[in-house]
Amino acid sequence: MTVPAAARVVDAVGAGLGPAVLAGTAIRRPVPIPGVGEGIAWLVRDDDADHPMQCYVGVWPDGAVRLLSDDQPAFFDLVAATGADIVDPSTALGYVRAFLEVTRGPAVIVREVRDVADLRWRPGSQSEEANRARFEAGPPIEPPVVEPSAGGFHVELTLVVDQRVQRNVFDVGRDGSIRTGYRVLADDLPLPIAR
Amino acid sequence: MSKDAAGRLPAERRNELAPPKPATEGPADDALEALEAPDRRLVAGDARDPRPGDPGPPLRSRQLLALQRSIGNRAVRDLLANRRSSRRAASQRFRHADANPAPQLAVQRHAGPTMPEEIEPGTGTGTGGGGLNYVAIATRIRDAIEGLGTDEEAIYAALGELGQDATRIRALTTAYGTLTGRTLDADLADDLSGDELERAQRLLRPPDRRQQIETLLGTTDTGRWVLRIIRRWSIPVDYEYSGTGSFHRAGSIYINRTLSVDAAALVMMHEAQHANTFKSGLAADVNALSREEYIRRKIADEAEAVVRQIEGSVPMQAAGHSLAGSGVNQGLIDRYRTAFYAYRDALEAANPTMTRAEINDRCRTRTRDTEVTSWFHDGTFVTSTGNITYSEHYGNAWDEAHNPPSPAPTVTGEETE
Repeated sequence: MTVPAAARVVDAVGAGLGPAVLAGTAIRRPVPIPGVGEGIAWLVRDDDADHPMQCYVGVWPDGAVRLLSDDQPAFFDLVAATGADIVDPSTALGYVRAFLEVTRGPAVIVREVRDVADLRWRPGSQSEEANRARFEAGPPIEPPVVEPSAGGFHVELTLVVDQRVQRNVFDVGRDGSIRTGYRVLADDLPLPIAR
Repeated sequence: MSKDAAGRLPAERRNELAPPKPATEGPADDALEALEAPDRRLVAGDARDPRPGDPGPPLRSRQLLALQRSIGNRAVRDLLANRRSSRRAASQRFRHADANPAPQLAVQRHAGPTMPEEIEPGTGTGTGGGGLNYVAIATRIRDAIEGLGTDEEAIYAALGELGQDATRIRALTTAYGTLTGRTLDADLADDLSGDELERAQRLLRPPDRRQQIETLLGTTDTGRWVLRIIRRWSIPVDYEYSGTGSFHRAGSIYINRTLSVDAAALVMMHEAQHANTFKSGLAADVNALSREEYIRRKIADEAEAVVRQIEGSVPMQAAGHSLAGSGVNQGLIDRYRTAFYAYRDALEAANPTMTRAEINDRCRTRTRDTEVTSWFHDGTFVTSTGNITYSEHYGNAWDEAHNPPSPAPTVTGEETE
């Protein structure tokens, strides 16, 4: 596996993480994307900054390095350039999870949950606490779904996205293409805020 | 309709909207036809279709030039002022001139560009709407440029009337071109330089992102404080930052380009606090402070930054702006207010003679140092990387500074440039 050159990573991540990359204090770690080649996505993280930062970069076959965080089109461009083979439900599920993580906004919390007990609460305003009570009294969180479908796989996950909980659906093609949709289950909940 | 980066229309479209070139022969027909319109306005490039009640096609400047060449400026002015006698006289003279070119030459006043101050009928020109008189504005700019020494303030004042509206800018540049035979951009570039030119050029562009954000900041007390901090310390701000996140670092502020203008203004309120602390030499020094004091001071700066955001967000919300993406949400505002008002009520009850300003000041300080500060300890705010509280994060940072870990793992197999 070839580690992307620091200079190219610095160009991609900008002034926030760049100095730590140059100083060698930033973590640079490959992130597996099931069904796609190894070493094409990398975590870049600096825990020493006033506000710790991290992002994901992609390495294209021609050596170009680009941000993947907050940029889903860049992710699909990378997958198209590299090639993907999503062969089974397990790979599809891993692929979707990796897609969610590497393309999330850097300060957006995205976390899969399977049960209300998985939620970590913070003290909330009166209105937020009321929303929490309603949510906890509602139907249980549905488990993940992954099943074969025409042309690929159908995946459903329940996610925490910042202060809301949502059910996301993904139709994953064998070539790595994804059609997505989501339904908000509850919003304005007293969930932690990433800064 | 697509435009280029300068907001100009494609060349073929510009040509489409340009005034028709006068025929080499027979400008009189055009001019005479124009004189029959019920209202005459000097608008170059007005491509509207006549509608019922519409004043009809504007009098083209080239047509006016042709008319001037034929009958002279005074007659044209009279005609444009709807003086019937002059109109008749013009028609007669025109016909006469048409029949016999010699007198036409005898009354010619100008061979160069028209002089709209002489023919200006005093009506708005209509193209850009808003009742602006583009010819008058163009004339003021021309005079400011051509006079003895450039009058920059007159140029700014004239351009300022456009309000950076794209339609008005087009109307003015067209009027200026018609007036002088030159382009406004070129004349400004010839006469101004550096900051003066940049200021004039900015007035001739629709507002950019920086301007939009700073204009929005100018609408709230907290925003104006931000602008003062930026000016006071000459803080560089990258409003189009394309890397990760938005942050302050070493006296510079980076605002991610993906943030909306509303969110960017609110994030500026937060980051300006950090920049001010840094520039004031008050930033917590991890090497000089105890662990406890380091955490306390880091969080104190964060809490003040959050309070500034909340204070700025309230009037922005009231004006219809969004909090989305700013790091502040309604829940935090409500928690701040609840704590603030509870202390205010207690303070008022205990100190009936205390002024409202003093009460507010004390409540702000207390709410910041108790309620807001607690958010950095109780899991309300967590780091985006490890989902840990900020008291944990700053404690870890102090620990690492005082007990350095082994060198960062060597990255092997790195590609070389």
